[in-house]
This record gives sequence, structure tokens and C-alpha cells, in this order.
Amino acid sequence: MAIAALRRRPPPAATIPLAALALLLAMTLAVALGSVRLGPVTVLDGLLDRGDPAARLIVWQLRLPRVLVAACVGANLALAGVLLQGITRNPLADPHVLGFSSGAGVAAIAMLLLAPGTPLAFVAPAAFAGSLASAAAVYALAWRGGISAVRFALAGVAVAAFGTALSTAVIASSDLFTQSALSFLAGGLFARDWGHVHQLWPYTLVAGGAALLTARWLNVFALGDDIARGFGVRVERARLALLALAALLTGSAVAVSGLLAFVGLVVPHAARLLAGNDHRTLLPLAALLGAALLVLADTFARVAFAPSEIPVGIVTAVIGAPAFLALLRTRA
Amino acid sequence: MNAAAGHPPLLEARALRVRYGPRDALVDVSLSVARGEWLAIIGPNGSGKSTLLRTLARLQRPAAGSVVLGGADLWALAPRAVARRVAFLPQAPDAPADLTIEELIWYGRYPHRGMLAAPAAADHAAIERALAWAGLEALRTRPLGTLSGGERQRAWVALALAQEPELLLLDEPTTFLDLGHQHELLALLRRLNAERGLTVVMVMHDVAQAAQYAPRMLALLGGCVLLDGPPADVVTSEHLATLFGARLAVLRDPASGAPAIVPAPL
Repeated sequence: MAIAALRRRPPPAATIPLAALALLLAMTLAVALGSVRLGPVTVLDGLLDRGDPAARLIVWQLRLPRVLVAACVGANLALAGVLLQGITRNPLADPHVLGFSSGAGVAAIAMLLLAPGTPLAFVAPAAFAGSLASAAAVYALAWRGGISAVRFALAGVAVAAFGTALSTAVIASSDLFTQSALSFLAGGLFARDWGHVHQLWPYTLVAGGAALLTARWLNVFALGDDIARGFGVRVERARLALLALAALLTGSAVAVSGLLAFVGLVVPHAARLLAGNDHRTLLPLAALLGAALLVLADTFARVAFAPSEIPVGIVTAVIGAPAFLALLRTRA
Repeated sequence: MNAAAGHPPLLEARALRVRYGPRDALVDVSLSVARGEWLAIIGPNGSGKSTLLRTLARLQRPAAGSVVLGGADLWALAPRAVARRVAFLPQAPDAPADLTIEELIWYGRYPHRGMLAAPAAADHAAIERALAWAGLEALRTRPLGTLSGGERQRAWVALALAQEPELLLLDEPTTFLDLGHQHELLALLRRLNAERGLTVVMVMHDVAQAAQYAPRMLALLGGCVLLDGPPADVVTSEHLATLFGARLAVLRDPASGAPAIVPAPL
């Protein structure tokens, strides 16, 4: 009894190593599949930078960077989704629905199209600024002496629509009405290389790590604002910090992937189904699942219709929409 | 009385005014609660009961006046320092249905622990005491979603107790409970007040029930204190007519003296 009293119900932590394993398998599969199919030994040789030079080139220069970008984007969006669902106590919240992505998208696309020579390293900060601006707009529009989940969601939908319209306008008004601009709007990872990896991983590491540290805050938020305040949490301040973190995760992801829908919405719910509502488990699990999902989706986008490929955003939407409906039905 | 003996009151409100947009929710409210007291706040809808409670809980900042906790201004204290002394239970608290009672109650230790600190022996002891007071030891691993309304409300009270407060503020704690569970909860508060010396301030909708349990009642009308005293003085048919604009008669149970309120015969 004394031992039982000293121990809280252990979190379903076993899901985390399993999800890590799934991510590893997904990444291996993604590196192996493509126009040239590589066996497991060749993949390993390529990763260790030995063996057939052609395979090494394919693994190191073509496939691995793209896989890493997909993993980082997936983790960022899934974490942003958990943060936003947690602070708004709204299961429908996600960076796409609430306009965080579209704000980032406007900034990124304006930079890519209107100032084509801009170094890659400036795109992510610009997208973060755009994401932060739309977050601020949503917050300001929803504020009325406090924030209600419903007003926050409605303001987010409005800002998202406005931002998407603005992105389309920027694309339509530029001379570069290109395939890549369209793939940006749908969300795509075509020809992502080490430059994109280097641009993204510090954000995933720092902002993702910071997100993992907010688990206890998010758990207290789940009990409602009044209870959280009653515990001495400075609710508004914490909420602003978490919103900024979600904007950082979203902005850096959008800067390299464009507007990917559904990842931030579906992955947190799937993680909840597996591991419950404790954010100490939920956050790392969602990050791993988001990474694995996007790696697999991007592999499908790359190989399913070879030699042409489709934007991965179409794959995530095709997986995401029915998955979300299924989640709604099982949870309602 | 305590003040006369040299003890400052545990909680004091001085000329509180709270505005919601253009209108005053509280106009000029002063009250003083001594350590170990049990006060019920009553009044019609919109009289400012919940606003007063929220202001006392540091959830609502007054436009004028001040709240003083143990001699210090509530807003000069750190939120967490207040949370270690005052627990607030909102009217209809909500939590994830898969949270167990014990997991819920652990959140009550939040104000006492750092963000990343491991639970100390004092935390475990507080959890056990809270479970024991609320009679929830046998249900500790049950998810909230599987509990009855009465059990769930006791779990929330246990959460507040795990905070180990000196002062417990409750907003209509018996709403949504059936009659049996209402009295069970109020009996729990009575024991906490009498045996643990917990100071209780609660907003109550049911005047007769409040009168039956709380030794002191404060009646609000239009954001002002209309009455403040023992139930026998506060709950009279004239006062009820003023407060609620209804013709009501007060009958007394000859055994206990507890009032019953019925529509007055025309």
C-alpha cells in the first residue's frame, strides 16, 4: 500500500520507444525507396558512407536530407498542434486551422517570390514573424477581457482564410506563377536538400525541446483557466509564451514545407488515443508520430506516381481527412 | 472578536468595487473573515456573489478597494504564494475524463512544488490526507469519467484540500448534485471546518441549505452587502422579499431550528 501510494499510475511510456522505432523504420524505408530501389545493406553502406559511390550519392545527397526535413516538419507541426489544442482546450485547434500556418506562408512566399535571391536562412525567421503576426491577430481578435476557446477558434479561422487569400494574391501577382509556388500552397518537399535541413533542425531541437518542457503547464491548463489561476499559474503570460512557441514551430516548418494541412490536427489525436491526455507522454509521442507520418507520406508522394511526384500536402490531406473523421466518430 | 483579541482577520475586503464593462458588479463591499469561520454568500442572480468570490480568490482584480490576506494585500503577493494559502473551486470544474482521482489531486501540489521538482514526502502526505478527508481512498485509481456526480465533486474538494489551504473558496459547490450528495458534501465541509479548522467561504444558491450549515451568512443585492450575520437574523421573510422580490415564508424545524423556505400563503 505504501509503495502504491508513493507511485502515480505510470504514464504509458512504452509507446515512446515504439514510436521511435516506427520513425526509424519509416526513415529507413524512405531512404530505400525511389526510382532506384536500394536494399537494406546498401542503405546501411550508404549511411556509413562506404560501398557503391552511386548509392552513397543517392542516400546522402538526395534521400536522407529530404527524409530529415520531413521528420523535422512533421515533429514541429505535431508539437504545435498539441500546444494549440492544450492552450485553447479545443480539440479542433491546429496550426493550419488557427491561421498560424497561413501567416507564416504569406511571409515565406512573399520572400521567395518577391525577393528571389534571399538566402534560405532568412526564410524561416520571416515565416516565424508571419506566424507570430497571425497569432497576435488571432489573440487580439479573440480577446474580450479574457480568451474563450470558441472565440479563439473563430478568429483563427478568419485569419487563416485571410492569410491564404493573401498568399494566393502574392502568387497570382508575381511573374513566377510556378509549379513550386503551387506546391508551396499545398505543402511539398520536392528537392529539399541539406540547406533546408540545416535551416530547420535547430528550430526543431530548441523549440521542440522547449515544447517538451511545457508538459506540466499544459496539464494544468486542461483543468480550466480558473483552476490554473487558482494554482498560481500566470495564465495569460503562460498562454502567450506557448502561443509564441507554437508560432516558432509552425513558422520554421512552413518555411521549408509550405502549407501542410492535417498533420498538426490528426497526429495529436492519434497520440492521445494511444497514450491518454498526460502531456508528459503526449508531447514526445506526438513529435515522433508526426515525424514518422510525414516521412511515410512524403515517401508515398515521391514514389507512388513515379516518375512524377505529387505534393506531400495532398497525401496528408487524403490520409488526414478520413482519419480525422474516424477519430471524431470513435471519440464522440 | 478575533480582531479585538489582537489577531488580524484571515481575509478582509475593503470597499471593493469591480466593474464589468460599463456596469458595477460590486459597488462597495467590505467584509472580514476570521480564521476558522464559515461564511455563506447568498443573493439573487446577478447580485455579485460569484464576482465577490472571484475577487477574494485573486481571479478578478478590483477597480477600487483591496483584498487583504493575513495582513498583506492580495495583489502584492505572488500568485503562487496566494495559491499555497487559498484554494478556489469553480462552479462546474472540468477535467479530462481519463484522469484518475489520484492524478487529479496531485495537481493540488502544484503551488508547493517547482516545475520540475520530484514529489517530496510532504506532498505524498498531503495527498493521503486529502483522499482520507474526502473518503476517496478506495476510489483513488478510478478515472473521473467513471464517477458519480457526488464522487466527482468530492474529488475536486480533495484537489483543493491537497493544496493545504487556510482558506477554501467554493462557488455553488452543490450545483448539479442530487439532494443526498448535496448534504454529503456540506457535511464534509462542516467536518473540515470544525475538525481541521479550515476557513470556508462559499457562494450558495439554496438559502435554506446555506442557513442549515453556515454559521454566518452574507447577503448581496445589486453588488452591495445587504445583510451580514447569523442565519437566524438573515433568513427572515422580510429580508427574502427584499432580496428575491418574492413573497416567501420561513418555517423553522422545531428540532434543529433549521429554516425551511416556502411560498407565502396569499
